[in-house]
Amino acid sequence: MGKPDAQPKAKKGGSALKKLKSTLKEAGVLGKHHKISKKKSATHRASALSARKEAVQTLRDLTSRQTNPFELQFTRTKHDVLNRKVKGAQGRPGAVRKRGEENRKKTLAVEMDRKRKESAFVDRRFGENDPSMSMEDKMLERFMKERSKRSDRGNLFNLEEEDDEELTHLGKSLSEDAFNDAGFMRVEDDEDSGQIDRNTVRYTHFGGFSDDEEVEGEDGKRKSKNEIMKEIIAKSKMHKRERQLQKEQDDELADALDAQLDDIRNLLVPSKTPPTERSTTTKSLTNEPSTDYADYDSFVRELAYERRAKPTDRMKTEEEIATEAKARLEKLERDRQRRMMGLPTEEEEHETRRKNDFAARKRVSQADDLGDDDYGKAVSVMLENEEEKPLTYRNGVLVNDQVFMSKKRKLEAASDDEDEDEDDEEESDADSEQSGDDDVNGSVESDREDDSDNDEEEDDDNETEEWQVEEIDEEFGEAHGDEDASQDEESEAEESAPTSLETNDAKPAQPRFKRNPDPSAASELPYTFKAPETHTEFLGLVKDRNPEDQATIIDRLRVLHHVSLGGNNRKTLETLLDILFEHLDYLCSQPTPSFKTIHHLSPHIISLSQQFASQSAEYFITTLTTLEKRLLKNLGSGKGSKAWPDLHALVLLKLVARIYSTSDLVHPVVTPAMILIGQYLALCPVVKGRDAAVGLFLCEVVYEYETLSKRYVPEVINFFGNLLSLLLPLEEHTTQAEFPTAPILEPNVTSLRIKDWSETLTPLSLASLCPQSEIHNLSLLNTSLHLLTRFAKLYTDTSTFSTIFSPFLPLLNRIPPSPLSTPAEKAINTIITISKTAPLKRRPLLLQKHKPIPIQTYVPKFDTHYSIDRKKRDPNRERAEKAKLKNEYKKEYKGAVRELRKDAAFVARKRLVETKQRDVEYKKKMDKIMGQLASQEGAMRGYEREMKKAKGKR
Amino acid sequence: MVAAKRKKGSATEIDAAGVRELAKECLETKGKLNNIVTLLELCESETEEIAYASFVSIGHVYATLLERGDFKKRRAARDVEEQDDVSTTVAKWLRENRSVYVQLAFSYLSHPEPAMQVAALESLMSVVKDESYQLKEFHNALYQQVVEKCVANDNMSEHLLENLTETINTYDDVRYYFYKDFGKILGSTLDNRNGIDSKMKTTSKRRKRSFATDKLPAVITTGFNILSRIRDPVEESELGTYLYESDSSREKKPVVASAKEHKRVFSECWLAFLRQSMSADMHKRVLLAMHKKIIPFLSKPTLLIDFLVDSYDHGGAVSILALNGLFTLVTEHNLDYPDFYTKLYALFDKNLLHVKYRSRFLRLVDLFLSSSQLPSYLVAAFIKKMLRLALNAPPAAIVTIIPFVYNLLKRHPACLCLIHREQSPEQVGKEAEDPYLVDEPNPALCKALESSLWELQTLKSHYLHTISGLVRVFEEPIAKQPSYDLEDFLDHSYATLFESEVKKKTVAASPALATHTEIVGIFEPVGRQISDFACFEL
Repeated sequence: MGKPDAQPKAKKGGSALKKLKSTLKEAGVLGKHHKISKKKSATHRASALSARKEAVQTLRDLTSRQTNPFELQFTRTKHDVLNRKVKGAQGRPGAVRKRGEENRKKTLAVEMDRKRKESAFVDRRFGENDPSMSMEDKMLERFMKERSKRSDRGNLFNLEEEDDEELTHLGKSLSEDAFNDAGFMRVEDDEDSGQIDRNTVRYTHFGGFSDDEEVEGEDGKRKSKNEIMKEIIAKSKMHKRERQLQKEQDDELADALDAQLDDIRNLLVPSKTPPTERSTTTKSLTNEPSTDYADYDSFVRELAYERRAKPTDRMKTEEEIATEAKARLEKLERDRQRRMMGLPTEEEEHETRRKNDFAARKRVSQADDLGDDDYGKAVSVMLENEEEKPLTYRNGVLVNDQVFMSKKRKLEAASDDEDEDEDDEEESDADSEQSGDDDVNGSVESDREDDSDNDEEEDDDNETEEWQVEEIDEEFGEAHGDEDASQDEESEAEESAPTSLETNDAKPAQPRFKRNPDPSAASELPYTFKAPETHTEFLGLVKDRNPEDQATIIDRLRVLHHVSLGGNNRKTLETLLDILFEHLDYLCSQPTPSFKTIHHLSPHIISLSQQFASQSAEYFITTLTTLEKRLLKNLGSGKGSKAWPDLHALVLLKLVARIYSTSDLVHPVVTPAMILIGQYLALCPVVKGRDAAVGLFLCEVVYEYETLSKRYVPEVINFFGNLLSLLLPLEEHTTQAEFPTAPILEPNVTSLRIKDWSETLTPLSLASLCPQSEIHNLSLLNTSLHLLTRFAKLYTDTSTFSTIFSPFLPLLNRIPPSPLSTPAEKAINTIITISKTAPLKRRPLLLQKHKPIPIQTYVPKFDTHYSIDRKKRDPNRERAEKAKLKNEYKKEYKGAVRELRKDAAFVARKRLVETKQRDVEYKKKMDKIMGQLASQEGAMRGYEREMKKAKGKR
Repeated sequence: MVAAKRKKGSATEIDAAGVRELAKECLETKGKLNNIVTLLELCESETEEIAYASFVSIGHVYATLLERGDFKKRRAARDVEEQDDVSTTVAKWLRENRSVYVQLAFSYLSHPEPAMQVAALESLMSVVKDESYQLKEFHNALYQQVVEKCVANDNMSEHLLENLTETINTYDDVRYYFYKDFGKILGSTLDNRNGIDSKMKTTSKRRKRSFATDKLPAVITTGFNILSRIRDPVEESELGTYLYESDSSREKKPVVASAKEHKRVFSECWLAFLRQSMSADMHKRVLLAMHKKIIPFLSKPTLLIDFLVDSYDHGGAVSILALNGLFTLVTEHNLDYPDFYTKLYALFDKNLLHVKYRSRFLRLVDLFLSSSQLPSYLVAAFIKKMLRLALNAPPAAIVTIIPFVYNLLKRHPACLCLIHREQSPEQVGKEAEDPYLVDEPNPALCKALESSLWELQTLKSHYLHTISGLVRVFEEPIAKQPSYDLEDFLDHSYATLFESEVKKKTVAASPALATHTEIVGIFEPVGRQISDFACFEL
């Protein structure tokens, strides 16, 4: 019996009957049965009966457990897998049907039988059957009823809240404990809660139930009621006293705190409230507390809203200043490098990355969200823009309540810090002035600020004039750089004058003028000038002045009209820049231009151009375009040699190098300038000495442009080749100059060829750039050799260095022994040395070294969670869940339909049985009646027959 | 005669209105025919205005007379001989005068005043027309002289040229005879020069037609000017406008109506022209016109081979230009040209990327190298050579070369080793000079395939960002990128590059500024440039 499953399998061979027999035998049902005899005693019989009963039970179990194989239903699987259990592979339809039948008999049949025979539940809840009432109304009505019912019932003596409902706030209970935790302890006269002590009730109410338990005193004696009462009274009195004491102490403490309030307040808001105000507030606080609470409240509110107290800015140490400067320079250099590579600067990149981040991870919506998608973004933008500005007090009055919480202007990231510094300093300055701080330096500074404020006064104030100007002068060098940094800042400065100029002390890395102070010259010059409107006015201003004085005049003009001084100064300075550009043109077009003047004016042009970067860029681009047009026109008309740029163009190209960052990959001004230079060098033929000098100047400008980025400029190399070929003696058996790697535009020019090598060497001067200047070919050669060496060094890292420079070697070797041998030698050596090292750096190119594209593999994809029972795993979790749900629903639906169908069949069957039964009964009844009637009829006929017989007899 | 004399006396004071008056008189009254003599004399007057007026007037007078029939030889000679002996005499006299007039017109063709030239040509053409109608065929003898005078004209004005070509373009027979005559003239010149004229039975007339050697360049130039302006030969159906319309009654088709004949004279003329020795400039101009204006219309284009091959071997820009014609011959006329690629390779010299025919040449080279069946050593040699030249080229040329090379590399993956070469471990560290031999004329021997394109590295740091950007593309997987359309890059110049830079909308609000720590005057070195030597002293 132990393994019922194993048994049938072991004896598979036999017939069903044999199997049944053997099973019964094994169960011990068969053998015992025969031994029961009728002749045994009663006890025996009883035991036998019980055994029989047992056997019957066993048999029943057996049959229920051991199914007939004919009753089993198998589903054949296609692939047999060992140890795999498939649900529903083996079914017992008969058993299932039977179970279902039984279940139905228990439920459905019972229900059917009871139908229309039992009472039903009627829902009499209020408003349940009233369709005119809404759900809420119903609920409300029911609740009201419930309430009134309860109050009617009146739990009068139950002080405790009966229901478990609890008020909550933020998910926390508002019970007493929570309150106490929050520090809002209820101060009550009674120590205990409103409820009367259990013991008290027990002992005192209704005369006490003293009989139940004995209360014993300390002496072991039972106390009398009177004593107990007294004790209670005494205790309560003691408690009361204690509480009063406590309260008094608290009050005292509070008073003390009140007294100290102003001190604390001072600590919190340093030097915002002047002392006079402070005393009045104290008075008002102490004397008329009732009326001044509003004041106090507002103060508390302010404290809550205001930023926490923070330390004032301390002076920065030398080290810090140096580190800051270093960091700033490093950042500038990094930006430059990035631009050189053609990448966006760090800030730009951050900006874009930040934007991308936003797009990438949107905040997951939460319960409190109002449903707008941009909520997260909106919050962060708000936080970014809306920065609380500290409240600013002046004479105890809030001065900036308009600005308070207003949106902070968006400033350039670069100037952010500086701005804040400035703001703070401004405030603290103002404070120190107001509070009458007698700091000497402070007052001097503030005085100076005032002076710079209203410069009209200076005219009257002759005594102090010189001093002031010098002061301003000193500051100016620092101040102007500040404007360069950002234009926004200027506009801000205009709004919030007076700006302290000395704030810029923290930025020593800004460009400064390298100036040789010339006190004697300065003393002769007037200090104020009317800002010139036109170039003619400007000419009148600088007429008959030496170059240094002219520079000083412009310097002073710039100081007087510094942008931070507000007013129309920005416009004035822009005009000044225009005038300076015009003046530059004017200077260059003079028959004998003063290079010294140009030199001295140039720093101002540079810094003003940097200050008004877009304006100057526009000017440069327009001028470059004009130059380019002129060049094309000259080249087209065949005046090749005349196409070389004039002095003005040269100066402008040189200025570009100083104003703009020439190492950028793409630059709106520098790139066109560079193309223009290349065009000059490539297309203009060298015919005379001036051409060569101009070309060399351009090469030097190119060198300045490319010092940092070391970009390759083929035009320069070609120009050197051309020039050297023209300067140096011809090779044997040739009739015209030739350079192996580049064509020479005018190869037959002989005027440049050096014949006399023993001439004294004079350095090339700037004057040689003017037309009709005397130029020694020897000095041209000298300069070109130096420049060539420079360029060779610049292109040291070029992989094709030897290809580029080796054609120069035979040329240079043609230089005979002369004063120029040294630079020539130097150039040759440089080229040879670098050429020798260049191949070492040269590796075959590996430009196509990419990550190899993997070959498509046919290795089966393994699924770690694979199961043969599951058809496929949907990687999309949501979809998978949905599909699962759908499947379940379908299954349930089908099951329900099947059940319903079976129910219907069951009901029909049952009805049929009932009908049949009824019919049988009816038939029986009818038969019975008919039988009765027939017997009656028979009896009646028999009677009638009798009667007839009798009548007939009679 | 008296009147003429009288007039002659006052000829110096006469004005243009007077001249017209004379002509009018001459036409109105028969007796005043002698005015013609006066007019002819006036034609040689100093004042150009009067000369012009009288010349035009005479032309008008003759035209009218001819129309009236006073002129006609036939009528004068045959029909009216007996009756009107006077008119015969007049006609004869008139004819004589007219030959003077024609000679005058010839001389006026080289008159310094363009209007005079044009008038002369017009009158000559009308004479030719008239004579042709009298002869009943095109009066080529006269026209030949016109052609000769025109091409040998020292001061050929633009207007005359225009007028001449207009006539030639309008009338098909004039064009035909122009080609014929010009070809003849050139042929005889060549014969003369070559000294073979002795062998030929040259008539004195023919000898006369050839030019002195010193005049030849001018003739060539003028001839080319005219030839290049003549419209292209047309199909037979389009022929039909003639200066001399022959009678339709004739059965035989005149030669001028045959397109084949036209083609023949065209070919002959051009071939004779091309045989002349030409200046370099003329050579280039001819070559420029070659593939469009000449080759398609020649009866036997292969006859050009000599000229083109000579030009191709000439070297320099001429070779570059000859390439185009040669290409047409090779592709369309089955010319087999040995060592074509070697010669093409030789054309890549230091000047190539600097000349203005650069784009034209590169277009052709692109075509030549478009075959994917070319050996990789050849393609590699071209690539390497081009990049080597690009090292010293203007940016506009580099902008063309780089996409060019890129396309070549893409087309010939065997050359990818030029930009990507994995070294075996023992080779590492043994780098020597570039194995490529620049001066080797044979692309098969220049070892380009063993080299690497280091030039690209250098050009990557070119000052123009466009170029460095283009070079960067070589670092991307070359198989995945599409080829460049070379047309986008061919026609660049400094001007276009500059313009595109200036017009570019600046991305940043303000240009990046220099970060020098101190601002000094421009003639003072700053930052890292401070060195021991100042190039220019203040």
